[in-house]
Amino acid sequence: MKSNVEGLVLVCVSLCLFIASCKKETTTEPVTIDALIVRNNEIAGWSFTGSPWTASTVAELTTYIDGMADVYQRHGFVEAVHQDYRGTVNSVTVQLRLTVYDQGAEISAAAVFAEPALGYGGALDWKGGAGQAAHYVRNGGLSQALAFYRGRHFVTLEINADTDESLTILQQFALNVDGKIKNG
Amino acid sequence: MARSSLFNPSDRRTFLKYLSLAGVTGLINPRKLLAFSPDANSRVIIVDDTAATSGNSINSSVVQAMVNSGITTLAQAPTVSDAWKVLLPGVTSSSKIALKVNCINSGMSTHPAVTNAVVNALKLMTFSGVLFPENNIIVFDRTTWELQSAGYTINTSASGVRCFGTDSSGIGYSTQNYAVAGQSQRLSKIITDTTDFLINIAVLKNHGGAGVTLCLKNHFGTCNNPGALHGNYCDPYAATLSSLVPIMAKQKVNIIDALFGIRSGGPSGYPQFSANKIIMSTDIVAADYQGRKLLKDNGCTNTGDAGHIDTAATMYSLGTNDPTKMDIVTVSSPSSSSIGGEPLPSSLALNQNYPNPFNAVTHIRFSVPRSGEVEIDVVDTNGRVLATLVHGNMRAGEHTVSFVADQFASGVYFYRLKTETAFLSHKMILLK
Repeated sequence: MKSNVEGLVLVCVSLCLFIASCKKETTTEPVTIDALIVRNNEIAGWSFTGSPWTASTVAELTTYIDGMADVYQRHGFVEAVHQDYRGTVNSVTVQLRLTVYDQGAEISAAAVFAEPALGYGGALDWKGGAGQAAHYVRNGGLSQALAFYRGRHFVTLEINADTDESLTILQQFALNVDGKIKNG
Repeated sequence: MARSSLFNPSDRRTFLKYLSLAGVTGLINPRKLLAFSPDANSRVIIVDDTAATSGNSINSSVVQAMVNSGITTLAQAPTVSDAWKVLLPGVTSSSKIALKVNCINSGMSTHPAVTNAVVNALKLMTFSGVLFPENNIIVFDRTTWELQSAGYTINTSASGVRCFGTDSSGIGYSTQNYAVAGQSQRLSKIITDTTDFLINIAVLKNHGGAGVTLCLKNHFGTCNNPGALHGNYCDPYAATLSSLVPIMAKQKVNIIDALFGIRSGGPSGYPQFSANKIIMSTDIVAADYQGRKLLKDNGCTNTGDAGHIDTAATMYSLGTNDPTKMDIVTVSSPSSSSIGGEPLPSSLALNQNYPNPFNAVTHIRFSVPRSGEVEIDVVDTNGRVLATLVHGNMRAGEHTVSFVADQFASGVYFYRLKTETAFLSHKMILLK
């Protein structure tokens, strides 16, 4: 009798071990920062141009944005990715620049968003737009810049045009990136 | 015994003594040998032409007129060629001239249109009738990648204007280290080893760290570790760097491309306003002073952080930050009152061709005081017309045509200029 119980326990344990070994591991890979940018032609009419870059140290970031790297360093910079795009606005070929920064924490990204050195003084709030907060500036018919943050990520977008259509394009890019951050 | 001095030595030994003392002084404090003269005002030229830009577009011919007029006005010389010989003392046809541009922000770099205008102006220099070799002109910045991103065409070949970064194969940084306010830096070999003259072409931008980034800060792209020089608003680093002997000894002209400007968020970003100006001076501090003022006048709010400009004046004597010691000359709309920025000629003129004798290409420069029908032809000694170089309406101004004679035999030929009221001719020699 005792040996039957022992045998039953042994079979159950073995069965459990066997079932456990058959279960697939389901771990989620973190989204890399590269995956957050708008892909080539993902937004109709907007394709990659120029030379993209990534920076995972402040020294690398300084290479690309000079002394402004200090601003991001002060607020916990981790890494960044940059991409240029070409498209048309009002039948004119223009360029758009996207940079996504990982600042390590939401409080740091929010601090960068509020940094006066980034040139958003007098910016217009984009209420209900991308991210947890977003704003933009328009520069006298020449250019526009838009920035937002969500979680640990701070995002800047610039375009060398200043029309309602170009602003719509910037917002489209912003919502695209924001969606990737939310889903990441 | 007469009292001896360096300028009136009583004997050779005394002369050598004074000379060695001067040399030692230079070694101890080279800036004293190179510092600008505080007794003379610094000349700053501000060329202004609203036709230079339209939206984000640049009118290259207007910019060319701006650069040409700026150079001639700065040097107070009648022609661009003469002006460069004033601004680049001792320049010869074998001199190497480097142009340091600022391309770290491809969204608003030193615009190729401005750089090309300076290059075209340099190419107008003539030496015994021979144009300055364009391959002796080098446009450079820190990296080839930055130049390409800003729209420059890379050329490292033995023909044409050269354009490349310090990171190009065989270039790199000096082996010598230079002390920059406690930071050790090495300089681009383009400056230390390759060039005889340096022209600084900065672009009008504010800077989150330095207040502004103009000619002084442009040299952060000349050293190997600029990241170490951003503390304390880049002060005194930007001034100290520009005071290093290899830079100061060779840098002769400072230009600020102020066609557009960035007033906030710089040095990154796209243009935020149009200024339609080009600023020029041999005094780097005075040039930056005017650039800083222009940014402030256009709404920049952190120009007060740009103390490195004042440090460059007060600590390093690199120039003047005192506006009462600046002679500001404004040149307005040169494209509408001149041709190529130079004043219209007062009479018809046909210059001697250059080179002469030639084989097989020669250039003929001529001037017409007013628009009209002009014909220039080439004839042999029998008066037989061999080629017609010009036949039509020409604008008032100076023009140059080329004659290619590879199908003709060596000998004497004549070129003739005819208008409705005048006839001029010169002899030229083809020597194969």
